[in-house]
Amino acid sequence: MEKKQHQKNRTGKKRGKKPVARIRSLSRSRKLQKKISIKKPIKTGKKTSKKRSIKKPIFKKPAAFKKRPKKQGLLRRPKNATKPEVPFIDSEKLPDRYNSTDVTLMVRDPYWIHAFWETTPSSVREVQKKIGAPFKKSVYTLRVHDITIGHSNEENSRASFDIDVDPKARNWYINLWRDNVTYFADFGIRTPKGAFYPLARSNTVTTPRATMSEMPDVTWMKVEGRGTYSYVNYPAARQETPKQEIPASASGRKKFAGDKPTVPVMDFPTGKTQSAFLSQMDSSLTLLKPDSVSAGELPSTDFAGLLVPEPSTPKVLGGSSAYMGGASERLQSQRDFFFDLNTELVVYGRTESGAVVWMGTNKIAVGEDGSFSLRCALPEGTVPLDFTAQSLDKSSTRTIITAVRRTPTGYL
Amino acid sequence: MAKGYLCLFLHAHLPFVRHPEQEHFLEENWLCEAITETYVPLLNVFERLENDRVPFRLTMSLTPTLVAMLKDGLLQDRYIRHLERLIELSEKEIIRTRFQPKYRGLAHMYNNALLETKKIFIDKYKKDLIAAFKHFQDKGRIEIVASCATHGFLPNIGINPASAKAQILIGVDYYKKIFGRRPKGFWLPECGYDPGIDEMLKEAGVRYFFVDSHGILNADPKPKYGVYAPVYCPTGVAAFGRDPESSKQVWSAKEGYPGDPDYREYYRDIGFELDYDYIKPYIHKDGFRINTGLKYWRITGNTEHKEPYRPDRARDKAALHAGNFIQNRRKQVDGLCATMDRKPIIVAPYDAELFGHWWYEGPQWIEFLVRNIARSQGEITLVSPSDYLAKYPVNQRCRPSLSSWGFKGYCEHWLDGSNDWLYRHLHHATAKMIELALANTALLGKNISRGPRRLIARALHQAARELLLAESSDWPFILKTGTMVPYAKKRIATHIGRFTRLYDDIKNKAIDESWLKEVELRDNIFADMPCARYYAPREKKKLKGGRMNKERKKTNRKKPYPSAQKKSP
Repeated sequence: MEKKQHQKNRTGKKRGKKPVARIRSLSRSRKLQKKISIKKPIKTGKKTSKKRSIKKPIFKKPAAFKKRPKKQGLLRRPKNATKPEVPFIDSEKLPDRYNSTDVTLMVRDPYWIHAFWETTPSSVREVQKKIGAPFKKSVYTLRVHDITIGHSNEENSRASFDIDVDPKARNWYINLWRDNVTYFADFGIRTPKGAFYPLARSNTVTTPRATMSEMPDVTWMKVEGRGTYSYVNYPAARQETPKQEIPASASGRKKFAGDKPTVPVMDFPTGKTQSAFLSQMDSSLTLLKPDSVSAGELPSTDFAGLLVPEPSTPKVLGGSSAYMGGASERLQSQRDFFFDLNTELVVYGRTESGAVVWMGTNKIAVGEDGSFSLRCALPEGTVPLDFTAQSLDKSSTRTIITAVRRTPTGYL
Repeated sequence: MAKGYLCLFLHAHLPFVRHPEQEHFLEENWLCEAITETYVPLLNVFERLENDRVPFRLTMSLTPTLVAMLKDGLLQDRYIRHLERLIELSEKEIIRTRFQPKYRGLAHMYNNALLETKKIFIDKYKKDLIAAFKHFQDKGRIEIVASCATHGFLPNIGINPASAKAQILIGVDYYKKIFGRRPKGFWLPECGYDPGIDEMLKEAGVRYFFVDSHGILNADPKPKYGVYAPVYCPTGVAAFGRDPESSKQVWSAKEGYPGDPDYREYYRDIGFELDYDYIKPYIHKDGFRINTGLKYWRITGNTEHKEPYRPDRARDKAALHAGNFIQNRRKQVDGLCATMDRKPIIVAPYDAELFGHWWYEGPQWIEFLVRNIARSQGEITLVSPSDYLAKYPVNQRCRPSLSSWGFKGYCEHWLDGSNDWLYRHLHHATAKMIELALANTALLGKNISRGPRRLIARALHQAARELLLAESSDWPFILKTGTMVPYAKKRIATHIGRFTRLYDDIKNKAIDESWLKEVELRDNIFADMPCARYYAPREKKKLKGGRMNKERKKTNRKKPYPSAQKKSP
């Protein structure tokens, strides 16, 4: 009974506190608050003990409240809700700009990153002042840095590449030639002499692998309980040697089938991987590696067809079309003195008009006169170039095979 | 003795479409159609199996947006209105087809089914389908997993980890509120997984989630059993991989079962086929034709000419296909058993709306499948992932790779030229939301019942709701597929617009209460949840047994110190 009355009291007070007289009634409501403050703790205590999650519905009469099942609390529209006096207006125009200077990267798939950015006129003016006269000939540039763990240990630490973007562009799709890499980007302005003035720095993204991992380590873990996690050793009884691996046919679709292994694997030795991997592990986990498992687990034996080591493959960077702008890898030396070197490969040729040309398994755009050209990144190692052309009537096919080898970059 | 396990997973989701401001709203039909064609038929299947004492175990997700709509009184009433109009149409159809023996039976079939649905919806379930699903979960027949608050595609919105985290935590807390228990599993919208999400899932207290096949296959290090056993993320949360073979058999438009000539043709609806003047009262109020749900033809083949639908033949086909599915799984399991030192689990997740809405005979197929499995006594047993984990608590430790079950397997479907502009707005809105939450942490900590502070708190929570609604993966999905594009654009602009206005109002300390009230009434999802709280950094407390949900309860309850209490008497 007491509770019912209290509820009336509450709702009644709410009503008295309608928006129009809000400020004036504030002092009054405070007084009221003091009055009931003695009751309050008792009530909240009761409520919590019952079912806290459900909001007290604001209904006029307790009778109406009784009729309705409790779940109706989700519906917050009180019965006496009237339409707003002022017609309800939604602004349905998205803001054009947010007045910030920033750049953000998003992963689309193993070989594509999406970047979007915004600059404010003031931040650009600031850079303009620094650059001075050459500003007119400068270009907006996305400088993409590779910070993949392991890559920095290589000779050419801190690799980066530049993409010159249209000054009016607000986003860009960046094509990569290598999966499973970690990047961040600086958006800025580059002078004709090559000095880079950054405007904003992006978040860091990691692209997924396009193929199966080459790491054969098998570590086991036990998770028990419903909410609590505890880690125990892999039971000794389960250390039996498994008979075989799962047949390749059962292991699903394969993405990016066009990428064939071409360049030697630019990977670090397995021993290093393992130790790096193990050091990452949570020290609280007890991990056990059954000896017997590793014996049958050599990468050459399992998942036969699928486990072709898939190394970095040079990807066609949008060919000769202007759309991509093309991106070339950029290498920086570690010394202060500025000197950098990029390599890029241009392949061109001619065939009959109407013929179809493939590079490996990738189809290449052939012009109306039968000429074609493509531009791609030239990483260290061997880039095989096998081109196949097929005439329009498909009667004759010819293949030309060559290769380009780039020796490891030396820093003397 | 079972040789292998099958986990049949149904993902039920619809975007939050609720427009109290308009009497008739076309997109609300999505919900109405799904109720009539999928949710009620599925519940009927469960009911029949239960009555016949057929053991079954399915796994489902009911996304918070769908739950909120099914629980919403306004939409429930609108559904009944929709149903009554359809019943009226089906009655007219009985009269119209009285001299057409091929179609008369079908008209009767629809009429009966609709009347039955109405009876079930109103009398049996009292308009609350969620309670019905909860009933089957409590009976141990289905396992319902949680999902993101508004079906945000986590790899994309995860550029702000706070956004992804809020999506997950709100989804889990909403689940607890609705189903009265902690979710064991989690469905990542569109199977979108990005390394790091498992940490958030662990924080939410989730034991397992699902990824697409290549998410597991490309995991690091290489998974020993492929997708046929779960792997543990470094955080201890298990990841189950989708089996490509079983999904292809059902999903594939060409080779899949739903494309069989005997099944009902989805794209021939009397809303489009019949005389305009006749059908006009039952199509859109503005006069353009829409699907009514009454379809009289079967797929027939790759022709324009369609034969009349034959329910008996379709039913036989569904039984046949269920048998075929089982047989293929058996073969698969046999092959796997030879190579694995444990029993394999085949995870077959599908969109729930595929069954019934698109593939009309889908619920029947599920029923045949379940009965078939029960009859064959072993070889293959239906399990939920948590059953499997209880049986095999030791699994390989791998880090799954970024993946989704969308086109091409990564994020492209939700990130390309048609929809990439959206992320700029989401990104900035999230940053603003975090800024607001940080600036007003004092208001978020406890429930303020009145006063100007209450108004600000309300505005903050509503701002968070608007952001969540804008993050729904359905909008970029619609933009990409190119149907109903204006609606998706409008929704994004509306929610971002409302968010921006709330942000400005909070900043300027000038909140228009009547406007806010109207917004609260329109976007009433998570109405009684303090959504903004999820964007503020949480105080990390060491809790016993890792019980995340106790954290908030404890802060509000002022109990006397236990030892003091004991001493006092």
